[in-house]
Amino acid sequence: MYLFPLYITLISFVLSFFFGRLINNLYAGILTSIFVFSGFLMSLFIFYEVVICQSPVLINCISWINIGVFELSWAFYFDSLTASMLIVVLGISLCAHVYSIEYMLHDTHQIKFMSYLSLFTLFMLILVTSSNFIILFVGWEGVGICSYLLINFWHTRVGANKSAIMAMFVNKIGDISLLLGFACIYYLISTFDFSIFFLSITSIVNVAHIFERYSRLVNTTLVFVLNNNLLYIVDNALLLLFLIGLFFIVGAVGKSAQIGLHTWLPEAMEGPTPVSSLIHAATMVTAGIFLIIRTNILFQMIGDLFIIIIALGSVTAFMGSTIGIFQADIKKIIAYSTCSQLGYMFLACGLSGYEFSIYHLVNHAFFKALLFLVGGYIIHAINNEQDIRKMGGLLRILPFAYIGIVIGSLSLLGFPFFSGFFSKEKIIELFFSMYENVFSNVYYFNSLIFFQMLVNIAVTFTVLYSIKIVVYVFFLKYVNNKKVLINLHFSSFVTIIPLFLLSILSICSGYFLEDMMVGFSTDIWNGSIYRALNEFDMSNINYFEFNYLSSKLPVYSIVYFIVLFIILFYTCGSLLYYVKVMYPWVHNFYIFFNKKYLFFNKNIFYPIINNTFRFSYNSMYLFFDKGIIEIIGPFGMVKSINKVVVSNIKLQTGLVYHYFGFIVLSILFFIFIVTAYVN
Amino acid sequence: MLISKHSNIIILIIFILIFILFNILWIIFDPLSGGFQFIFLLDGIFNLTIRLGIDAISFFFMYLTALLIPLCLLFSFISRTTINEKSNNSMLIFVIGVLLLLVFFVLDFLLFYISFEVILVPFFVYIGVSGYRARRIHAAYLFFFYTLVGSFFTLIAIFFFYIHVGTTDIEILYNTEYIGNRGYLLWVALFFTFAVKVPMFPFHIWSPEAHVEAPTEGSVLLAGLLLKLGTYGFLRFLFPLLSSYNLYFAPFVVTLSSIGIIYTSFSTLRQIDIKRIIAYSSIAHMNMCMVGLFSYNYVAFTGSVFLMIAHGVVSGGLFFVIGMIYSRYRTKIIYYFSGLIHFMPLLSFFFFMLILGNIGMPGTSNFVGELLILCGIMYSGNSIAMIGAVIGIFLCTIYSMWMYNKVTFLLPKFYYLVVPDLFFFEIIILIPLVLLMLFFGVFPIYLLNILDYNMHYNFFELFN
Repeated sequence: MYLFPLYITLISFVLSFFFGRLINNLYAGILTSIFVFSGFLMSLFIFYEVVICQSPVLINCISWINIGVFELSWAFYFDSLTASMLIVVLGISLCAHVYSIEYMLHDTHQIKFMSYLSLFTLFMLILVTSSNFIILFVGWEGVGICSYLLINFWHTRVGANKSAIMAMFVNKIGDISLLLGFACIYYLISTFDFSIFFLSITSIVNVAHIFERYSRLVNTTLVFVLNNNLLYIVDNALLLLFLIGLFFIVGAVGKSAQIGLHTWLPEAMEGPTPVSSLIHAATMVTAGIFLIIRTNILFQMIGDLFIIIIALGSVTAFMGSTIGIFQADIKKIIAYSTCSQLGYMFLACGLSGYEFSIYHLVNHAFFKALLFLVGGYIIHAINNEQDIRKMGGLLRILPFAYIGIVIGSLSLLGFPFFSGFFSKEKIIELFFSMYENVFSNVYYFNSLIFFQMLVNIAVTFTVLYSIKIVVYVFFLKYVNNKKVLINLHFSSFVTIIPLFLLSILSICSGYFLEDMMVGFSTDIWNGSIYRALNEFDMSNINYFEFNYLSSKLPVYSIVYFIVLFIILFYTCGSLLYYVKVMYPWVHNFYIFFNKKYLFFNKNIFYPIINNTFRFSYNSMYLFFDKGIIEIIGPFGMVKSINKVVVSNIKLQTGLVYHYFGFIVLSILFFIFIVTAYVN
Repeated sequence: MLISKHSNIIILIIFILIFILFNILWIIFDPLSGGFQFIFLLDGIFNLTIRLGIDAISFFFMYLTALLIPLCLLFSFISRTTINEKSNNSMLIFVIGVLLLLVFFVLDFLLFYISFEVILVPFFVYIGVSGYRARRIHAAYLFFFYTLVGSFFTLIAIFFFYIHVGTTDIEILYNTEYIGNRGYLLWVALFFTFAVKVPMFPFHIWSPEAHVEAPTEGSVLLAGLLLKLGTYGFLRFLFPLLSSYNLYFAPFVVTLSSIGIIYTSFSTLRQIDIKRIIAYSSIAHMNMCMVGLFSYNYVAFTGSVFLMIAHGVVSGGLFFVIGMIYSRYRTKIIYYFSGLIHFMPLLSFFFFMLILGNIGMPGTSNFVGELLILCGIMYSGNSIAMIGAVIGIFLCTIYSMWMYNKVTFLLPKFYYLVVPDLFFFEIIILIPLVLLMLFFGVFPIYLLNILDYNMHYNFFELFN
């Protein structure tokens, strides 16, 4: 019964993919939406039972691989983390399904699109409800494949193909490192189960610390009551756990588009808008964050990995927002906004605030999906124009879009009492509680201050690009063709429903979920997430929460910047353009940010790709296959045998006195050799 | 040689009956015995006693044979050749099928060697006759002479064993011990033979040539079964007979195979012939099986046998798909293809499922094998093997997805060439392969139940 969402999405995929051609476009869309809606209702019920009544569920279905030493089973685990993610995944998926009934109505392959959406939801559900690492990997790779199919949906576009392949490759790098991590986990504990893994980490780390401490005092090897196996494991256990954490971080970097492997996310905007809202805002890119939160005990026990996560998270947040200011495509701006917010979530995990991370994940899903869907609504209305410099003055024409974007942007900025406010402020405040723990190590402290500065700058720039969207799309004068206005395509009620739902959610979800998820000593997490605040101790609460002025500082700054940037864009918009054009250094500055920090593509990726191809052709293929091996092998032998034979044929001249000369010569030679040997 | 107008159909019916027999055999197979079952004793022919028997590993290879040969015969139904050619081809495939079943069935070293060699003859004819390119003769010669030269060493080794023990029966040979430095030479001799068949790194150039020039059924049987003969030979003869020498040489083989994986995966990136890409991919997968076998770890061992079985299915399917494309367009060069999904959506669907299998997506059979091999390699602590396996998996995704994308998506290049989508027989060929790949991926437990005890017996008792 708990597996109902998985079954229903599987049935939805199979029915619409194989038998969808027998029914109408519209009916297929309605069918899949009804299936996903029933899954969503089920997930609400699951949330009630698992989170509010606090009874996690483990369902063991069938054994997958069983060869004695290697045991895996298809088992699904529903705890509070899973239940929260289920609501997010199924809710946003429902909105995407309903939205694309209308959005893709005139596409010939709409039924295929709906089936791909259901397949993606199925894999994401498998990822979220997994109870061991390999089932999680099934979902992980599955969503990668589905994202390839969905980005590549309009496959006649060259850009879509390129983006889809890039998404596959960059994700695959993360997948490889994840596989290496799984192999290390098997080496340690011979099983992949989450519960056994979490139990064993604490015991391994404690035993390893004890062993280290005692081995300095006692010269002989400490005699354990345990067998030889565990001694050998303890020898390398800490290093292995560190490596596992590192591999998981790289995997999460690949999937959640942190810096280093982030290039696929903005390119993935080639897909249709419901794809962007479902995959690249709410679900797939949060899979990496989900993995880190799921294995939070690992990161808590090994404290060395925090600085890496904090560094990656804050730099991503900074980078996403700085590039986002200079983009011109509305979907790309929102994509970089997603990249930046993912950096926030990653950062929150690094600051030991896992419940803040999942809280921000839930809130972010709602308002980001709202932003994407409203963006799609605008794009669909004005004849698929995506460039914000060609929009303008849509305030009176598309008022509902204006409301949606304003609500979404205010949530994104963290305007007081919208949903983003509760989660974003708390993440920044987490820095303060971290300072008290690391006050003794001054280098660590310094780097944390640097990263906090990056995050604060990112907050400011978030205001900048959000206001840029609002001003350029709605306030400035209309600069496009008159025909577009005449043929404006208003979407019907079917498209508006999910937007309405998401708007309400993005206002209310922050307040309603705050006390349940991140309040002091809530017990819904029930041990699945490490919470520093559960031990209610005065030293854990940061000092600044009680300081009235400092705790309200971000709010004031946001309001101030909103007003400032509106005035800036509205009045000096054209002045900015002239400055950009007339001063070369300003132009170079603009190009650097517009082309996504120029050096990523030019200096890092293209050299790697070009040299790999050149190396593989010249060195590998030409040198070995067509070169050495053929020369030593058959080709070379054939040629040399031919040469030898050709020169040997010259001996057969056909003249008898030549043969006589050969006989005389060989007799002389023979006599010479014999006499030399005898002597 | 046209025996009758319906020789095609007769041979097909025979092999479908054999396939049904193997399904029944799967059910009545005893999974809890470690040795050989269904032992037949042929007595008195030329004063020889020959024993035939199956154990779990050879059972699955015979099952794979019994699966692939009817599909090849079905494929020849729809190829546009004359009835004479069809009958010739089905005769050749019949002979190949019988010999393959024999090679996995015999429990006698000499007879194994004979059938191992004699398979080359119909293959040589098949590759040499079909097609029009002049390079096919070169490929046929390459294929034939590489294997022949390699297996001369085994002949000498068989003579040695016969003189030493007095018989060439496997079970008796397993129970004798070989000591002294002669064992190293024997190991090298046996290694050369089987290393040429699994295409290991320096001896692999016959494989892309033979795969490219062979007709579709030939490629399927080559990739699906002939490559497995090499690893099967390792399992059946090298590991049990010369265990201590094998342990001595094992790091060398693992390094060679890892170099092979890295080398072939890199060489694939710039190929322009679709069949060559899949051939190099087969080489990479078989080398990964070798890494798993020689890392002397039970998990990797089971994983590599599973990968062998899974890879036969997936590679067979991929070569069938290419054959279907080739029979419509008469070219295999990737430059001519683009936008195939517009008028061959069914083919694109099956192609995508098989490419997913090739990549090793969880849920398909290759993933199970690769996961087990990776976990086993980590135990043995060999870092070169680890790097090789990981690079192999990564590059496999790159070239598979790149090739699929280039062939299937974007706009059609030659939109005026109208070709039909899949015929009914072609769908019948592809569906069992895709379903079997998914079945082995989601429920490998049904295979592993039968393989498990046999693997235990082999690994823990026989190889020490």
